[in-house]
Amino acid sequence: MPKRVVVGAHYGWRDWLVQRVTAVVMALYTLLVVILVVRNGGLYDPLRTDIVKNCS
Amino acid sequence: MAALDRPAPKPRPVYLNLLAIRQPVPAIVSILHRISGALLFLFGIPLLLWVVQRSLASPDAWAQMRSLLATPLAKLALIVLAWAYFHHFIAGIRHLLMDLHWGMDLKSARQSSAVTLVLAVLLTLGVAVKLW
Repeated sequence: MPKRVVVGAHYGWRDWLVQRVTAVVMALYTLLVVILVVRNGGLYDPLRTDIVKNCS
Repeated sequence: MAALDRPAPKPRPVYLNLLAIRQPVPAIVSILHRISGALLFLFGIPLLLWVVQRSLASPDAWAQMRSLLATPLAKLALIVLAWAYFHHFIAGIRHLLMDLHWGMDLKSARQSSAVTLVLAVLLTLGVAVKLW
């Protein structure tokens, strides 16, 4: 067997899993924010009360 | 000898010019996933922190930040970051599904990557319309 020099991403399953878990957390957070904004009837913008009024 | 019958070997070294070869769609989505991730990390997070900091500093600072973000150049930057977020979000979910060996065959991989590209652009257009 030839001796190979391993290069590139070889960081092991732990870092791999941590990356996936944080990705899922961020994705869920995004969905939470979207749900809150939709339930709020849009983003609150005090300088454009016309829009806020039209939404509510 | 048999070697005389063979066609002349192509000149070596053979190298790939990444700018000249036509990338398959999944490769483009993968590269854009990295680019959008870099954009979000290098510009998106600092901008977000700055906006939060300005909006909490004082009413004046908030109004100043707000008018600065309303300039066309700032809106363009926001749209680029919005695209980066959408693309990274959708492509990331695609990668997670593929980690679960979902849609691994060539056909569905191509389809899902095309969907990723189109959906990210459509969502970005929606933001652009809202923003402008």
